[in-house]
Amino acid sequence: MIQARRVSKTYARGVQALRDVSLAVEKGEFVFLTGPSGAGKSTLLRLLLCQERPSSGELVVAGRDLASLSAREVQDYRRTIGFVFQDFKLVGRRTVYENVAMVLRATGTPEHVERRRAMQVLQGVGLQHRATAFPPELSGGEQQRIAVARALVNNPVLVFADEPTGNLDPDLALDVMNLFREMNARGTTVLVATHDRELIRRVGRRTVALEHGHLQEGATPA
Amino acid sequence: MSRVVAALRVTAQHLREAAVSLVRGWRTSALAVATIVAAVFVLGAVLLASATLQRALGQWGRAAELSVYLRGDVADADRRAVERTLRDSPLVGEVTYVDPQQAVSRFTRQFPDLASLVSGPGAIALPASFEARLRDPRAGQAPVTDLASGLARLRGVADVRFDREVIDRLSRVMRVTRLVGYALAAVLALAAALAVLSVVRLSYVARRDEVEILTLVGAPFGAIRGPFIAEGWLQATVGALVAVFALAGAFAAARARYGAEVAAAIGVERVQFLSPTTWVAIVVAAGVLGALAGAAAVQRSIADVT
Repeated sequence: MIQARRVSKTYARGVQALRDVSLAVEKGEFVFLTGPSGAGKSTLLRLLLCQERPSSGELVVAGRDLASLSAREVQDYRRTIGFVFQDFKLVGRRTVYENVAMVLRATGTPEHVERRRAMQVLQGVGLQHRATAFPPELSGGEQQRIAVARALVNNPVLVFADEPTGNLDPDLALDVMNLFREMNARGTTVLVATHDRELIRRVGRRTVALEHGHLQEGATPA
Repeated sequence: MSRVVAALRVTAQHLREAAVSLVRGWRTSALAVATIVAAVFVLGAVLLASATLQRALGQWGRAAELSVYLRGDVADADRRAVERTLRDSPLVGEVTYVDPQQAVSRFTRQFPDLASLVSGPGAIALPASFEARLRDPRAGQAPVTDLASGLARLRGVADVRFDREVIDRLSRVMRVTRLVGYALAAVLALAAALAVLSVVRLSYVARRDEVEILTLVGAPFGAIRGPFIAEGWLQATVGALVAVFALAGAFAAARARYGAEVAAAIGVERVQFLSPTTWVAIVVAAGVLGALAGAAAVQRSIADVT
């Protein structure tokens, strides 16, 4: 599903965030990407989301070479994946329902399908009763579950999460991680970046470690 | 046909989303709309003042007269020749014949203290005359002078008089006020345009996260831009409409109280509001600017995210 071959990312003034990272993630896998702050986890996720391009190397996701996508193709690609961020990235002036449904609405999904699917995923994360609430009215855990619901609503083949439990207490963190486990059980490939070693231990999945932009122990070379 | 229907449906959806967004962020929206109202109101007021002044000057210009005095022994054929010359001239609008009796009664009415000069024994005989109103004083002095010279050479004409200074000055004033009016309107239109652009763009600053998220979920660029463009258009159009209605209200109130005095003072029949073409153009232009501002703001955000 994800093939990274000798991927490097160098920023202005020679700051090297990733150095020759090679990594393979198979379809249906659940992989933790771990490492201390500044190790390059978020950079790798930004490359996978096409927010940035690699300076060198090859990054192929679901058969797409991300370095060669046009702006329009990037949008097509993003519609096939889901993402969850530490800061939730919910739109405060839209309701919970609208935050989830915006993904479907933006792609021209018929309204009745949009309604059914959005309510379905909200039910899946246990928040269908908060559909008309606005994100600032919700707790951190509830907001992250909404973000997970949004990531799931278009049935993505792949979900990326960047420190999705960083703002949550341990119990809520495990709740959110269980949602990722459920989506993975239904066949979705999941890549979660976190530095929470306790959470990784409790969930117990394959771990890829980054340190100073290099891939460390536990990684499966491409 | 189905494409048109789909486009209309998408536009309606964008407008609906824009309206909902404006209502939800009503504080920011109200501030933006109020700024647009103020800018367009000032522009409209200056255009209104300029249009009224132009009408007054035009009216004064039409009042400019050329008087052709006839000899007491003028033959009918000569009088008709003078009248024909006046009526055939493109410079002349209305032509009125004033016979000696009418001249006397007008003099008596205008100068009652001097009535004895033109009536009774030893009275001065007033000549018959033609009074010609000039069509457009902006034609300037030279053509009117040529016409007057030609008339003076006709048989039966005693004298030709017109106020060269007034006509010339009026012509210059009209040119200058028109230029000043255009310049002022252009400056204020630019200021209003900048206000619309800035306000609509500023109202997006707090909403860049929305563009970022829509971009990250893979929304097509058209679907991202649409609601923002619609919102810019709505804000600017609503602002311009409110400004035009406010201006019309203020104008109606002022006219009800001072209309007659102002009309009399500037010499027009009735003071009038901006023409429908002008205020519709203002509203449409504001809407287009708002939409452009929305597009520019969202485009920058998209560029930042991608």
